[in-house]
Parts: sequence; structure tokens; C-alpha cells
Amino acid sequence: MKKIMLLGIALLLAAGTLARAEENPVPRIAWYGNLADGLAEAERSGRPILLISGAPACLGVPGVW
Amino acid sequence: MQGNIRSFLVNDQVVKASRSFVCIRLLTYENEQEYEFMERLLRVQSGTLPNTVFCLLAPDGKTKLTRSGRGPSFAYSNASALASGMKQVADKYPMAHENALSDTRLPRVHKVDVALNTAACDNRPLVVTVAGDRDELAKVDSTLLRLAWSEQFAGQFVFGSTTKRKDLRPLAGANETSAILIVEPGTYGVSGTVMAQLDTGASGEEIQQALAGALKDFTPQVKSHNAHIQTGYNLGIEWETVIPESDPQSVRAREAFKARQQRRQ
Repeated sequence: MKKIMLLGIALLLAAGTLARAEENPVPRIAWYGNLADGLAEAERSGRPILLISGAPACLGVPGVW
Repeated sequence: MQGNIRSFLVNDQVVKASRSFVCIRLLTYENEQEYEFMERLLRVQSGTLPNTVFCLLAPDGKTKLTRSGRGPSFAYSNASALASGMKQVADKYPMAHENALSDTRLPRVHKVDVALNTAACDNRPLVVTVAGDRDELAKVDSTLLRLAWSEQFAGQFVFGSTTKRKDLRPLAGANETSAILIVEPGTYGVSGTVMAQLDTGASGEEIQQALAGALKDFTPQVKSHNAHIQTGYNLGIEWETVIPESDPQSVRAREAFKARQQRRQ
């Protein structure tokens, strides 16, 4: 019983460590989420295009790529 | 997004190189015109588009600069090679570096519900702009533009916008008069909670403070892929795509998963 409690506390502490706000958010790609705006911006700015597509669901369940 | 694709896109050098590109991430089965565009890009038979697509294109949006395929690994061996390749491509376009982060549009997803789901997938906060008509919406968006493309905030938020208040129903705490809402997406991206909201007329400084505060307070969720799917299935949470899923591998995997779940019940 004591071991289970200790394991539970350890897991809670680990979760607390992993799930916390980022003090300095890491740099991330800024994605256009639609084709028309992205193409128009590429034409306007003369920048090439990094195009990716993905379904915002896995096995039909949303919230994960 | 498959894990190996993600590993390319979170690489520091790839992110750095991306600033000289217009980065477009489409949602594969959510828009018919975009689906057809990608079919032409991959030259696949109509109605057989895989669920992931990758390509580098010229600013004309037509000329391919790399092989197109299901992911960056079709053209590059690893993330460092992709970053180098992107830099070489950008160097060929005189305006590419000069126009980094000079965008004149918000990088938004076309519908609020899809934007909310995308934010949940990315584990990032969502910014929604709302107004009564397109002209008003353009004014609201213009107040966010400089901040959205600043080094401080570029890539940190998912954006959506609407002229219909009913699109805000999944967002708990949304006020009737708000023009800019910053939202923490729920685990499955079918609901969200408003973290901060601003009315029309909020100053640039007020918006900046709200965005910075939301980033500080936002706690990315720890998601286990398999547990997320299993729990989502048990809760009956299912994402209905606009276009039927056409990737044979994904369709087979989904059918097999459902069959396994039904046998267990």
C-alpha cells in the first residue's frame, strides 16, 4: 500500500514537471491554415512555400495529429 | 501528423529556415479545393489522396522545388538536410529573407471548429477574431497582424476568425462583445475555455499583454497518443471530416481499431 502511494506521488510529481507552462516558448513554425491566404502571401512577398498537410485526427479521434 | 514528420518540423534549424518561407499547413480532408490542389500536386488518382502531404513550391504556388510525397523524408534524409535544402531554396529568391515575418494576413485556419481542433493537435493556444461582418473583421485582424508576425509570437498561436457568433459556442466564457478571444483548447479540440478576451478598440499594448499572459499561463497537455485515442473512442468523440478519408492505410487502420473495440465490448 505504501509503495502504491509513493508511486502515485512520484507520478503526480512527474506529471507536474512535464505539464507546465513554457517560461520561454520554443520557436515554432508559423503556419497558414488555408491555401488561398498562403498562396496570396507567397505571391506578394516572393517567398517560396513550405507545404504540409495532415488530418487533425487519428483513427477518427480529434485532438492529435 | 506522423511522428517522423513532426520530428522534421520541430527541428530548430528547420524553424529558423521557415521564416524565409510562407509555411502552409492544410487539413487534409477539410476543404474540397485544397484536397484537389494536393491531388494535382501528388499526381494521384482522384479520391485517393493520402492523409499527409509535403512539398516545397516556388512563390507562384505551382512550380515544385522538391519531390512531393507523404512527408519531408520523400525528399530529405533528415531534419538537418531539410533545413539546408530550405536555405538553399530561399537563397535563390531575392525577397525571401528580406520579407521574413512581413506578412499582411493572419495565418488562420478557415473555420473556428477546425482551428480549435488544430490548436488541440498542436497543443497551442487559439486566437479567435470575431466581428459582425467582413469589413469589421478585417479591422480587428489588422490590430493583431504586427503582433502575430513578431518574433515573440510567430508560431505560438493557432488563429481562427468568424463573422458568426454561433461559431463561438464551443468556447466556454466567451462574451457577447469580445472581438479577440484567446482560448485554451480542450484535450480533444471539440471545446475550449477562454483565457482572455478583448473588445474592439483594444490597444496594441493591451493585445500584446493579453497574448504574453496567455502564453505564460498556457500549459501544454501531456498526451499519450494511444491513450488519447482509446479514451476518445470510449467517450464517443469522433471527428467527421468534410471529405471522406481516402488514405487506404488510414481507412484500414481505423476499421481494424473499431473492430477490435467492438469485440472487447
